[in-house]
Amino acid sequence: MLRVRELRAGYTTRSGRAVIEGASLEVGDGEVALLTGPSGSGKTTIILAITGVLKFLMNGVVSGVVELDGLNPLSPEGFSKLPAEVGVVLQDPDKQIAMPTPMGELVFTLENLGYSTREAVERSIRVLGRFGLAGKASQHVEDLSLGEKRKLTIASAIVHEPGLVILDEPTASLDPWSTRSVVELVSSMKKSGSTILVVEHKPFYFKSVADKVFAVEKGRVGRVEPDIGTSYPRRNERRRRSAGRTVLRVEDLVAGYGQPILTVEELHVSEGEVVAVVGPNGSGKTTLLKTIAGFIKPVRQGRVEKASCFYLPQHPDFTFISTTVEKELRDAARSVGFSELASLFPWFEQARRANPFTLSHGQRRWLANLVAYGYSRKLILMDEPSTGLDDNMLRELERIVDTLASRGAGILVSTHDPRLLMDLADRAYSVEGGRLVERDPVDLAIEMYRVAGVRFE
Amino acid sequence: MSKLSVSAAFIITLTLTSLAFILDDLLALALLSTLSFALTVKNIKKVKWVYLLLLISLIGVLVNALMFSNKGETILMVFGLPVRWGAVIAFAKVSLKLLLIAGAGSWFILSYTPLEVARGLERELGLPKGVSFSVAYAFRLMPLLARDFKEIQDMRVQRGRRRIPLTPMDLASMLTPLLRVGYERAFWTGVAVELRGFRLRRVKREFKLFYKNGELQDFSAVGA
Repeated sequence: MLRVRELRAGYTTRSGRAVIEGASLEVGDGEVALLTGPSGSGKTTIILAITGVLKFLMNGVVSGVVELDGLNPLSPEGFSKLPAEVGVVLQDPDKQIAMPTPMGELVFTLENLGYSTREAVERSIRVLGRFGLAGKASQHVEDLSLGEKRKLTIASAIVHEPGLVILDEPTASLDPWSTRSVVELVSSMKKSGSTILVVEHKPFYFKSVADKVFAVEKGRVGRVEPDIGTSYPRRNERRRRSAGRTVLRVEDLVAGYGQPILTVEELHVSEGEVVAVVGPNGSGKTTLLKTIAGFIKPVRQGRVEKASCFYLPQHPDFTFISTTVEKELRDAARSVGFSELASLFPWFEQARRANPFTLSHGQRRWLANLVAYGYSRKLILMDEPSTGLDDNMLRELERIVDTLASRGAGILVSTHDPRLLMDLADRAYSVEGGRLVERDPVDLAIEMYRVAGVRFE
Repeated sequence: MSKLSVSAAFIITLTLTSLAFILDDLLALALLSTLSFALTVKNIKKVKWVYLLLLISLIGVLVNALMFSNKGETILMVFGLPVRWGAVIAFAKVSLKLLLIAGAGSWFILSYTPLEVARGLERELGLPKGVSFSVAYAFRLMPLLARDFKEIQDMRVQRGRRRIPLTPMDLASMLTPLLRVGYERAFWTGVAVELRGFRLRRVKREFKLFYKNGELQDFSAVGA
């Protein structure tokens, strides 16, 4: 049972403004509740507040009543007992797996909670088996796929069978296949009697298991009917981009690290066109983009004809090399002028002297995209650009990509996000059996939603 | 077959390292350093970087010996410079001391997995849980840091910069994203381990000289 009354929470800032204002919610025993809302609405802050993390580990300000299975995590005593009663899974697996092996990760949790090593090992073996990870118990966690890492974080949160499980964006960065397995895990935890709170900005994935839906809007929480909206998706009404000259043509290429991972018989991108490469986690999408960019030697060279290109990594921070936004754009002004780049950055006047690393996440993504455009107005290779973005931030990404495409840039995007296919891609290629096959982007997106378990009405 | 415990091996390594500083007898140093080197020969590929560093440092040792200990009978002339008995002895002693330290350290590294070291230090030697956690977490983090660093290098090359940092500005522009991403990762990992009860961790302390056959230390025997 989770009960929250009049929760007020915020970070210690000069403004002293609370992020959450009077939030209340209740999740009964054995229920699954969704907490949904746009980025920045305070979903993660609610989790940090109700688990005591905000108050005791981040010096935040929290008031109100919180009851988690009889515990008050806002008291020092309740906060100490919380790990035994509640399992929490944070957003990014790479930011929470602490041990080098899956077995070490689970045993670590159990030993913290007072289990003997032998008990911990035996229980961990059982739980890893349930999550399909027994065969990888002693491998380094970096040898696991992203989907397997996500399963490991859930396994380590529930290995001690807590009554309440809290999952923060459990499908972030996952392909539809892994998303489905996470939804199935939540369903099986529900059947075994766990109370579950899922924070998710793609709530339709959990429609089949959710009993309640709460929406967070500007720091306030409201209960909504569990009509999450799974009407048949349609491509956004907009003009289809007109393609110009070909800026990338790939034929008969085999990409991989020594061993073949992905075979490309034919792939092309034209000026002003957005082309998506879609496939499961670990299917070679990033390897292909890096091979085209020239970072990785192909297994078979084939034929690659390309205009000058720029590879944009998933993490925009890695793109920056200068100490101010202005220097960054001046340095990037190779194929277009500095004034054009500056005019495309909406916050240029306020931020021109700011260090790029001090900008917000959305601004950093804009800046990284402009750096890419500055270097190559012909061809930009984007690696999983929608990772972790909610619908609002996705709209922002679309705005950047649309701006660059309308100025003639050909854009090749690797993704496993059906939303990008629906709203952004003019054409798409899918990785099927280690080969790239051209598909209609909307059909492909609908197929991906179905794989993830979404049933359309 | 029994295996020497981490704590026992740690004490032996510490003793050998201390002897490297204390001993002055050339024969004793030669015996111990040869022994410690011999223990690592089988898996020398895994610690080749240790011996590579040792070889590089020997250049400095030689220069030092020639500058500060070049006394006594002249043994040979190199480019018109006399190499005397004192320099040879000093070079041999310091080289053997370094070889002893490198060999002992390598033997310890090669004998245990990171998890075994972390658990051994915590349980058997009573080191604070924060220290043993840091050791294990470092091994978790290294591949991630290497991956980030490679990505930053690729970005720099793409932007027409040096892959290897040579100036302070190069270094700053490479370290800033690396540290920023690393700090954020470490912060949230800290939150995650606290939510999994790290502050409650109480480990039973027991000193062991040997692990019995099959005794679980790093769990590598299970689940594979």
